[in-house]
This record gives sequence, C-alpha cells and structure tokens, in this order.
Amino acid sequence: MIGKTLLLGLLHRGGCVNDAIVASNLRKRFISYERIGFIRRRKIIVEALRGGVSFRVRWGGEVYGLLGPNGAGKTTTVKILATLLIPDDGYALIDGHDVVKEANVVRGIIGLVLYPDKGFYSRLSGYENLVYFGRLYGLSKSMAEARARELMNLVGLENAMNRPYEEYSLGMRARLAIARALIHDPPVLFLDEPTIGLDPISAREVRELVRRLRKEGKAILFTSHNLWEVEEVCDRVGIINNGKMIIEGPPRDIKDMLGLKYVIEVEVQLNGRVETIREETVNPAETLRRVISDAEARGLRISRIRINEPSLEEAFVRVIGDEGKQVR
Amino acid sequence: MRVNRLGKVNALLAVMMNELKIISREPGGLALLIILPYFIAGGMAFIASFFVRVTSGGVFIRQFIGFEVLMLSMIMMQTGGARFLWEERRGGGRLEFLLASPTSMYVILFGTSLVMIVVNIGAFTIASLPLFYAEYGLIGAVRLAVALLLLFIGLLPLYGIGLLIAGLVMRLNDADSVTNVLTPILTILSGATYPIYVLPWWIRELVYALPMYITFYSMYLESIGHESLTLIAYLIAATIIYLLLGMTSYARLEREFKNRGGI
Repeated sequence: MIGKTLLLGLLHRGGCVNDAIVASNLRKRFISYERIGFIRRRKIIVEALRGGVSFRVRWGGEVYGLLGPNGAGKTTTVKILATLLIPDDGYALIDGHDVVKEANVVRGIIGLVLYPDKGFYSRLSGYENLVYFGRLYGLSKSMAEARARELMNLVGLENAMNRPYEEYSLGMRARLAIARALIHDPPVLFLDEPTIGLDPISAREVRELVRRLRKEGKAILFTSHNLWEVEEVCDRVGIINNGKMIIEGPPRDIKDMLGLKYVIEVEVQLNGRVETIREETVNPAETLRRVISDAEARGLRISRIRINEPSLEEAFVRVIGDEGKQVR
Repeated sequence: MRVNRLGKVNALLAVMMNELKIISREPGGLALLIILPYFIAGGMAFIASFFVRVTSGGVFIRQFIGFEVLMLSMIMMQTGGARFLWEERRGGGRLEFLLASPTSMYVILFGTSLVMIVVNIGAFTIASLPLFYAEYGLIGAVRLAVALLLLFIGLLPLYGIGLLIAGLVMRLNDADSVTNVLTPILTILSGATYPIYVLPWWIRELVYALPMYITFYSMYLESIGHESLTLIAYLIAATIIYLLLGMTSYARLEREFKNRGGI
C-alpha cells in the first residue's frame, strides 16, 4: 500500500496524472456504544464507508458532487480527505499528497466548509475570525488582514465586517464559512452541504460563488441534499449510499445509464379542440420525430411541444431505491 | 499564497491575541480574570489567618502565595487543555477547523495557556507587590521578580497536566464531571495551603510528585531570601517530564480520535 501511494504521489507531482483529488477504495468504520442498562453498554460497529468509495476530481475547475441520503458517508469522506479522519483501508491523495502521511502538506492546500453556521468565535467579528484563521494558515498579520478584507468583499459581507459573528444571519455565516475556506487561496475546496438551511436567495448566492471559484480553476468537492442544486453546479456526480459508491459520472450520463425516461408532450388542435399527446421515452429525438410525423399524417396542427428531461432527483431516487443493484 | 517565514511564532502570537480578544469580549471577562485570583487568594489567606497564629507579615505572605499558586494551578489545568478542547469541540464546533489548519495543536494549546499564565502572573504581581514591599522593602520587590519567574516555570508543567486531563475529558465526553472530581483531589494534593507533615507518607509522596507544592515552596523560600537551587532544578525537571507526558498523551488522543471518529 505504501509503495502504491508513493508511486501515485510521484506521478501526480510529476504532472503525469491530472487529478486534484483522488479517493481510492476508502473504507471507514466507527466503534460506538449503546447503553443497554443502568451501567452496561453494548459495542456497536457503524460502517460509515463499507463498500469502498473511489472517485477523482480533476484540476482546471471541476466541481464534483457527492450525493447521498443522511448517513450515506458523505461527511466521513470529506473528513478523511480533510485529514480529520484516518481511513481503515484505501488511500486518498490531494495534489498527489497522501492525506495520512503528508497531512500537514495537504492541510495547506485545502479549504474546508464543514458546517455553514459553526466553527467561529461568536464574540469576534467576521473580519477578526478570518484574520485569525488566516494566521493559522501561515499568513503574516498584514497579509491576513488584506486577504480578509478582499474576501469579505468577495462574499458580500463588506458592510458587516466589524459586526460580531453572533449577530450574523445564517446566510451571512454560510458566506463567511466559504471566505474562511478561501483565506489561504487553496487550489482545492471541500464544501460539505454549504447551502443547508439557507433561504433560497442566500443559497443562490452561495451557488453563484461556487461558479466563480470554478472559473478561477479551483477543484471543488461539493456535497448537498439538494439534487437540482448539484445538477446545476457540478460537472460530475457520485451517488453514495450505505457507505459505498453506487454510480458516478456527469449528471446527463447518469440519467442515461439509469435509462430514465423523458416525457414528451405535444399539444395538437383537432376541430378547434386542444389535445395533448404524451409519451415517455428513453430516446426523445426519435420519439419526437415519430409523434410529429404521426400528427402531420393525421392532419393535426401542432401548437406546442414540451420535453421534460429526467432530473437527477429521479436518478437519485432510482439508485437509492434500487440499492444493491450495481449499475456501473 | 506566500506564507510567513516565522510560521510557528506568527501562529503563536495570533493564538495569544485571539485568546486575549475573546477574554476581553466576555462580559467583565478580563477584569474578572485579573481580580478573581486576587480576591479569592487574598480573602482565603485572610480568613486562614484567623485559624493560625499569624505572627508576622511573612506568615501571611506564605499563606497568600499558597492560595495564589493553588488558584492559578486550577485555572491552568482546567483552561490549558481540557476546557479549551471541550469548548472548541462542543461549544463552537471549531475543533475540526483548528485541526484542519497546518498549525500544530500544541502551538494553539500552548498559546492559549500562555495567555492565562501571563494574565495570572500579572494579577499576582499586582496583588503581591504591596505585600512584599511592606514586609521586606525594596529587596522584597527583587525577590518577588525571582518568585514570579519560579511561578512561570511552575505553571508550565501544569500545562502538561492540563493536556493529560484533556485526554480524560475527551474520552469521557464530559468536562464538568471530570473537573468537579479532579479539582478537590488536586486541591488536597497541592499541599500549598496547609502544612504537609499532617499527611500520611504516601499522600505526601504524591504531593511531592506534583509541581504545585514545589512551586509554592520555592516561591516562599525566595520571598524570605532563601533560594533553593534543588527546588528550581526539580521544577525544571517537572516541566520537562509533565510536558512530555502531556504531549505524548495528547498525540495519542488525537490519533485515537482520528481513528475512532470522535472529532
């Protein structure tokens, strides 16, 4: 295992492999205790990542979405990659550096958002919090101050710079959490459910920010429960459930792989009456051609065509509902 | 992004500044921190003087030093490691972000403790300078300066003990219960507020093994102009031993939590 990770690390640093994040067959289980009496406890084993989670995120502004229901293993995966947990098996590389053996190097090149509304000093201002974390990342006082001002502007908190953190709204806290992740300008970002609990406007602002960071070329791992949000923001998606990766790929490919059906609705006029022809299909172009030619052959006038693309939500429900059936 | 060449010093200063800011923003925090040891140690020494024969200012100073060392020891052990880690994890969810930064947790914990040490020594200076001056004159001020240095050295091993207690707190998942049990035990074992010859020999050995009594006694000897190099050497040795023990214990704790998933 050591030889393998070392070799992979060298390949990465030599520029032979263009991956920002590599997770290979990660497995993790936790030992917990359940109280079964006044004093007695029973040991229980929680398999957080049992099937081995593997994926890659490329350099050059790729946003990879990790999807899964509660307890699927998303946060465990993020914590392993952020050096906060040691995997029981498998390995992970960030820019070619092993997250266990080179944890300190990895910490310098990642930015982390774990909870949008936690992890700050409540009596300090947002600006003071950023300066402090900047200095923990090795920035000098003046550099941390300049960077904190720049980021407060970037996330739209310039008017709340000197307000205590405890007075920030949830949306403001979420944006500050992203600013903290960016304080040392890391090339790799882990955003674990950064929009959870946010109102639609704040969530949209966060998504907008993620798009801007993608344009800057940052490699981003993004987890969310919000499926359309993942579809909107992410280039590729991995769906995990019960600690194993079920399916992976660009959202469109996932939908194709699962054979999800498009819904084609064609409104036609017949003797002044409007009727709707509705067909479900996995091949929308061919079906649409057929429906149109049938309608024309019957002398019907087409007034509107609507094609409903299957959503990632349907893919998610299909995959999670069909757990156990390996699609890849 | 270009990083500071004096990385650890920069981070240590940042931690200390941050800690000072946090204390000063608590309602009356800084004032309480400075005044509390003065009032409690002074008050207890005053009350104790009714039960023992206070034949001179020197006896009162001895009691005062004893209660002060006890107070500061408790503050150091509780805030140094245990309560800090606990509050960072449970209170604010900050522990993950501190651990995910490239700054070592030792720097963060030591910086936090150093603020407590500096503030407490400042408080002790304000409290004891008039006493030393009144009893011994100008030479008393010089003796106080040396006694403060001894206090500084004596508080360092307590940081190590604080790290050991932190392990207990994190494993048992409770800060209050652990400190509630340990505080009275360590108060008895401090030996700083009563004559230790009343103790059975085996408890006396425990008292000698902990740094509080030696800190108190070396400070007292210094105050009356009888410095003891043996005690100073003992304090330095205790600093090294307890710091090593504390750091080893903390390293194991962090590794265990990264494996077990308690962070």
